[in-house]
Amino acid sequence: MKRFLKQTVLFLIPVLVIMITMELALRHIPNDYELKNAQIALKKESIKTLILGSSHSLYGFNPEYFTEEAYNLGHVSQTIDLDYLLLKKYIKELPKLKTVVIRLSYTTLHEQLNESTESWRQKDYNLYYNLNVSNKLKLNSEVLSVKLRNNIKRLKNYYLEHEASISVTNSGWAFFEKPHVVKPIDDFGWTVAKKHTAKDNNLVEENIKFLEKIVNLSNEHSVNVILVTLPAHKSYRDNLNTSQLEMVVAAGEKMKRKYSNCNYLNLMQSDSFKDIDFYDPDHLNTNGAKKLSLLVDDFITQSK
Amino acid sequence: MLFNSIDFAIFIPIVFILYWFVFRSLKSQNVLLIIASYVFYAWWDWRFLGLIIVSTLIDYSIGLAIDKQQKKKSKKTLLTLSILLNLGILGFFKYYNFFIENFKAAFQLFGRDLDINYLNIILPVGISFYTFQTMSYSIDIYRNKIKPTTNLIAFASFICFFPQLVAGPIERASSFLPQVEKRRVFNYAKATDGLKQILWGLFKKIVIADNCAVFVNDIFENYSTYSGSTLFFGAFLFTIQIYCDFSGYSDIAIGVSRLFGFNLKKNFAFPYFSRNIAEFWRRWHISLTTWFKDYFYIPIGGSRGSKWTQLRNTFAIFLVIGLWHGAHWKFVVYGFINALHFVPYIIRGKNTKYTSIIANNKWFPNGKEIFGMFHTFLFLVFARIFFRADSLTSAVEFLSGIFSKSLFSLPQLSNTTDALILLILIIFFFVVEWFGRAKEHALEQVFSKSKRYYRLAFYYSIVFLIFYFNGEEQQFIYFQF
Repeated sequence: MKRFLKQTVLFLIPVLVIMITMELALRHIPNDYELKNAQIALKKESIKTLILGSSHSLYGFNPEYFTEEAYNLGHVSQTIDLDYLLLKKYIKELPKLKTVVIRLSYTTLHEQLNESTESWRQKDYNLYYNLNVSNKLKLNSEVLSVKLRNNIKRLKNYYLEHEASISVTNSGWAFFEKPHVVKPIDDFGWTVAKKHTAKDNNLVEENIKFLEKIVNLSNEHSVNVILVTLPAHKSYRDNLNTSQLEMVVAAGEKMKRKYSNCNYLNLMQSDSFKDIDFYDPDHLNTNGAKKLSLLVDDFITQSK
Repeated sequence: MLFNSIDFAIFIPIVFILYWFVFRSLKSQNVLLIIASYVFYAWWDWRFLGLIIVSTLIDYSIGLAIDKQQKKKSKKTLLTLSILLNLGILGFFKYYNFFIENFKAAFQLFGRDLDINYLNIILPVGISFYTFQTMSYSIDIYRNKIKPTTNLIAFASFICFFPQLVAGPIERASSFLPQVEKRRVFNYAKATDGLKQILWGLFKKIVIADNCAVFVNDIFENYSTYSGSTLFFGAFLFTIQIYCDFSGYSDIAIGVSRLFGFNLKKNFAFPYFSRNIAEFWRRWHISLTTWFKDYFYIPIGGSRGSKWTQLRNTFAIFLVIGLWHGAHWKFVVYGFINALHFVPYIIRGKNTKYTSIIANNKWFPNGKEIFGMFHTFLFLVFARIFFRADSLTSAVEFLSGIFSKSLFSLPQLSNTTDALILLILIIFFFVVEWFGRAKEHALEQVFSKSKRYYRLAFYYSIVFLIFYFNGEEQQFIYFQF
């Protein structure tokens, strides 16, 4: 038995040493989550508008075009449950906060990060926002949550090639380097729409409750909420499931009717956004983000 | 708890240390195994633990009662009760909605509507496996093959032994109970071999099966948009995936058992090196096929009698095996297709050919063997479309999609580099399996006689590949059965 234990431990030691070293090295790499957590702490006295949501918000709302100080706290694949946790964490620390802008996308009511293939991203909320979204060891570690091949790439990019690991601006906004994806947008609107179409409505009820929690929490702090269904490219819009989309729009309208501090802006079919405003079927590019941000800012100003 | 999860990586050393260093008496070790097994199962859903306990108590009591009865008729009544109770539980959880759906359809044919509602039933993980295990116990007592155990702890350990609780191998009391009732002694060679088998099982599951799943899921979900060659590639990858997924699970189960001093039944004997379909089914999911052979095929006549009887019995066993996999007509069709492929072999009396390993003591197979392996594998690629597709209609559409002009085009893949890397890994996997085909598992042979440093380098390479290709934890396919 002693021999067995000794041999097993000896075999595992190099593996564990490499894993621990990698964990430390990976955590040392600056990332968007850590940066936003730090930035919001610096700007907490001045932020008046907080933007939450997934990549649609992250790329779609550029705080630079808002009249009053705004900060974009969106992240790729961030779902409504996480929007709520982030708002809960920061709302008390933002004394001047007046408006919360949240995307109400085609997918918002039908997904939660822990149920998706991107669930590994939960580790970022655990590690860098201290949100405690999962107790799983795997989701509290860089090494265990991300594929080794991706981690090796991250280490190589940062330590050997000295590539920037931060993709957001000082206001939390992220943008695509190129105006469009290389592939014509018309060709893959269908694919994206299909990917975004839910198989069931299991999460809808729970996600509507999260929306309500966000509005109620905001109300307690005299903050207004603006739900925004962002513009989408025709190739995407034309392939969406009508009942899923109607459910989303109906939820937005209902929230607007039910809560005095909540407004809903449905820009899905907006004529103001042309092909040149999209990076891909469901994401705006720099141009589109400018248009949308000015439009939402105008809406906030007029609502006062 | 999944074998390929961090939770299990923490769970297993804890149980191992407690088992060998703290709970040293036979009784306490068995109690620990029961507790560990219940924890293992409850990690998935504690509510269904009650079902395992009920199944355990039913067959423990009925087993003792059968043995006490003198009259054959009373014994038979008790056995019938055990079978009805076990199949009743299994039938309710697994087949209730299926039967309702088909009853409704049948009544509608005669212009009448049946007013019975579907139930929202969750299928308890592993129910098909442990139910068959408990049933075989009562049947073996009835047949006087074994004596019932009076030791409830030993019996409960046999039913819920965590390495094989949720997806087999389906153990028999005759081979497993004596191991539970006898004091286990730690064996270094057995334990290290167990670790090797676990390592290979993890490689099969994480590196091969889970990476095949990425392509397979996409191709099967969007089959209507893909070319014939892409669909064929998807079906090919699923054939590899299902083997690596399930045999990977079995390897880990057997390996873990060896760490605790147990020997489990071999569940896979390199089935893709089979030269015909009959040999394949002797090498695939052995614990299930032998179960059906012993408790269904032989009692209905087996291979005794005329060719016609043999054919009838073969179709019967395959239809039952198909249904065992799930309450869906696609599984029935899957069983039927396999039975159909048996027909020429039974007629020509060649279904019992090839009982030894392929190319025994040779490096390579001969031309006939290569052709046999190729055509058996190709048949499985097509047959398994019925296994994987969402419905019978989807399977037929998938098949017709393959047989189109686009079959001769290059597959359209979301990530060609990843597909090529996967193909290289599959080739590596088959090479290792080929060299280990005469052994219990591939790593028992490969590099086992090499110098320590080469051996270690090989094992570290496998560990590296496991971590390198590790993605989102994917559930084992056979958990759904």
